[in-house]
Amino acid sequence: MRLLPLPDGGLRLRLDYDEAQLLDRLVTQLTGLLQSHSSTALDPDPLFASLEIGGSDQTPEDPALARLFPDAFEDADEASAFRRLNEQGLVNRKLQDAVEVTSALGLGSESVGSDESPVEIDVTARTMPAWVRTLTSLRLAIAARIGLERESDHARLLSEDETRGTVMVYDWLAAILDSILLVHEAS
Amino acid sequence: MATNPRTGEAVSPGNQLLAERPWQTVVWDDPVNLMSYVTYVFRTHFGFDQSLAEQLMMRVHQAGSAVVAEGSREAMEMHVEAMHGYGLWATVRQAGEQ
Repeated sequence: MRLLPLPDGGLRLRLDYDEAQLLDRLVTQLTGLLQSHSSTALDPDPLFASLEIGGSDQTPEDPALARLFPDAFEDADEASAFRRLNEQGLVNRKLQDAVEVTSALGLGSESVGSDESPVEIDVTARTMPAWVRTLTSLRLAIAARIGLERESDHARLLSEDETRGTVMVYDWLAAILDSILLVHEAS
Repeated sequence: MATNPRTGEAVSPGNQLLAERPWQTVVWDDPVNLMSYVTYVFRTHFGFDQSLAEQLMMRVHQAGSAVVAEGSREAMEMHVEAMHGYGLWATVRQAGEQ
């Protein structure tokens, strides 16, 4: 993974083919998770997607979804009311962000048999929010899956055979996110 | 001058604060979100300058939570919805609640 600042304030992200494929797979999984929690088809118009209401009124049982869509109030009734009004819109916006990232990666179904050269993506001022939010959603979902709840969990999970690989992916996502923010801040 | 919608009497901001405890947007610490990202979100969403954004981020990180906005309940709900959009753990509460 390499990042190059562009003169217009954007940046160019260069990923090895394997890295691009891994990121594409992760975002596709995130999309599946979000769709499993969505009660409507994704509206292709982002404005209408974000206006969508009709979310559920209960904290999701899946810990990854519960972390992506936390209770907004301590009081359970207030939290439910907020969720009914806002959750579907949040689901749709996270889905829109994920689509932005996968389409920028441009792998899709054509990846089979294509040449395995590095993938270069220009992250512009317009697309940067979708990138940083999606990388964050991925990290939140992964952390919930492996039970990373405290800072001290990180070292433990990294030392365990079962979770080491996942933690390395989680850290790799952090490195991409941090680099994007660093370039953004400097520009 | 602002008037009380129920009585029609003029109100000053000071009276308003005494009459009703303001609502707050609280952001909670989590082990996942990067310090650079939390600062970015505070700058981008609230328009805080780098120094204030960093100060609030550090307060979240060290104290476990921080009030990042105060005002009407509706405004705080919009902020919390935006924070959830960014993946930050945020709640709405009325001042004085723990």
